[in-house]
Amino acid sequence: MDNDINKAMFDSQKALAKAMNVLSELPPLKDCSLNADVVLTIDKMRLLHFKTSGRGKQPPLIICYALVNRPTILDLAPERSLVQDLRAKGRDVYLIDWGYPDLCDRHLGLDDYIGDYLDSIVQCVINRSGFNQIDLMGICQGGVFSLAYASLNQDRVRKLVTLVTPVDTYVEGFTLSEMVRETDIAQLVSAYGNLPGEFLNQIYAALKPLQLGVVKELGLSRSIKDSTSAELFLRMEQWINDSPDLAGRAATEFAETFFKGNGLLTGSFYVDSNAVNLKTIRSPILNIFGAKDHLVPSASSQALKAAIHPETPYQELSLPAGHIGAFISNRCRGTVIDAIEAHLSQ
Amino acid sequence: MNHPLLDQLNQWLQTIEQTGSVIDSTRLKEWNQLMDQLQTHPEQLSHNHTQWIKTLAQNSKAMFGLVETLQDRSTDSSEQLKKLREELHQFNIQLLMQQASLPQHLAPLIFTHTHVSTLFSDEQQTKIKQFKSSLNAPQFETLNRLIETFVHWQQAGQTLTEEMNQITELATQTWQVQFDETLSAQEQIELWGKIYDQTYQSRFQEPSMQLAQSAWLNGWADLKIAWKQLLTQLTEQAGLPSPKQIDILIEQLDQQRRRIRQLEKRLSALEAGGDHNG
Repeated sequence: MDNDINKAMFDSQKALAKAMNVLSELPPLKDCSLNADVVLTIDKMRLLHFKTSGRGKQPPLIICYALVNRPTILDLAPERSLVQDLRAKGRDVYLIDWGYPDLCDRHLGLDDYIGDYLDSIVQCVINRSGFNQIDLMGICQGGVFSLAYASLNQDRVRKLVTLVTPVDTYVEGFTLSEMVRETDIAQLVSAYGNLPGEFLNQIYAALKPLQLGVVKELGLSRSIKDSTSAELFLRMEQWINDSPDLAGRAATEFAETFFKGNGLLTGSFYVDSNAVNLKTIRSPILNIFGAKDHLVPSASSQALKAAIHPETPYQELSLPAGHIGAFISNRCRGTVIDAIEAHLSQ
Repeated sequence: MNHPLLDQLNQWLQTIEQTGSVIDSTRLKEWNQLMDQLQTHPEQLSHNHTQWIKTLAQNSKAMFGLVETLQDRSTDSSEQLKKLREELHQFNIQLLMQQASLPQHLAPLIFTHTHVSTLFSDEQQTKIKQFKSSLNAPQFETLNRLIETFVHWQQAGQTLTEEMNQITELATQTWQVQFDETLSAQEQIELWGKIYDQTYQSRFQEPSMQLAQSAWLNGWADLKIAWKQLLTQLTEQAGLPSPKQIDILIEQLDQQRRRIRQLEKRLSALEAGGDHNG
């Protein structure tokens, strides 16, 4: 036992020394994310256009990310970018950057984000592109927004992709949903104004307190073994800690309507007084989710199949990955890009 | 570029490797001194990533502190398990305190004192009484509400800590059953992390845990609101802009923003109609 501990300690110290060496030589991280044209600005929202390298023969793709965390994860580094991969396939990609809400934005609700911003974005892209429809990809909460928008604006959405998107909030093991349902979000919003990004990060970390906390910290030196792995690790950490606040009213409405009310399935999700009904969606859907997703259990995403009209073309893709790994890991990104390309090209 | 600290680090490792030394208390002390230097002056290694250098050094010290405790041969395994339980109890408290973001000198009191009467010393309680008696009724009411919400939140914290200690207990039992001597130290730590997190997620299905977690968060929200109310009262009395007045201003700004948005949309519609006709 002593020898084992001795060896383990020595290995740990070697790894630490290596990590220190790497950090001592690593230059500061260059900002290489989201370098694109800003084609529309409304309040703090910006619409970014990643122009296709070829002639766009198919409708443009709008990517709708969640309000929590930043969409920089989709364009993390040149060699780790879902957006650039899609561009390389000839897609004309637009990415929504919701911005950093401050206290003046605390009264923005779901009607504003979906009924105003998303609707204006779609209209803008239609006007610019010359197509009368767009393809829409929603990620996580952005997928919920996309489903809601598609159900109310059938004529504008040609094809739909949902990525790690929660649909049924009452599936077993949906710990985040259980947490939200038991918490008085309205009271928290009264206290804070907006839900602080740091607070949200703590909630996510609390879902796996040790693996995302102490265990990760203890394994830190193994994540920094050379300049490439160090740079990727530091970019991920930068993204994790770059969490915008969540506009107060939107937070309350999403918690009440979606998490507590299971709005997408019970018909209690409204946008501008119009009820969202998933059965009205006729756009072919590709639903991608991670089998090891602890934030949004795969069963929650898979519930989409039974919720839509049986005649709506539907495919699903299960990946051996977690919530973020599903679209950022090298192991899965290729599969995801191929599946999206095949779906949009059909 | 030569970094003296890096040279010392590498020198230390070479010594251990070449001489085949056991990492005893003397060697550990040398290592800890190196880590202290890196924590205090990380910029000596790199100006670009000082925070990460500090974190690595801090973690190394913590881990070796734990190993030192486990290697302490003067205690038997049941005593070591008791020590581990105490460490994990402190870990749970730290986790909750990080969520609370309270000043560090105040937060520890919350988990060691269950009643207001023991929270403050006799002298402090006398001063609080004198202060209360000098307040007029509305101020007293607001301050009293703040103290009450503080106590409720404190109690919610105690309840949640008890729940989390049960998680620790269950996870420890599971880990004892699954303990495998053939695993490396890193694998042991990862196994422990996995077991704890799975136990935590299972425990979260229990109503008692869900209620404890929500009571903690809701209590914190009540406390912040009570504090905001006190601040509003004090700032209004001082003739300064109060949080309540700022809230009203934000509402007015939001209404203006919506009017502007409506105008923008009407303008876009007119332009689109004009393009169509033109």
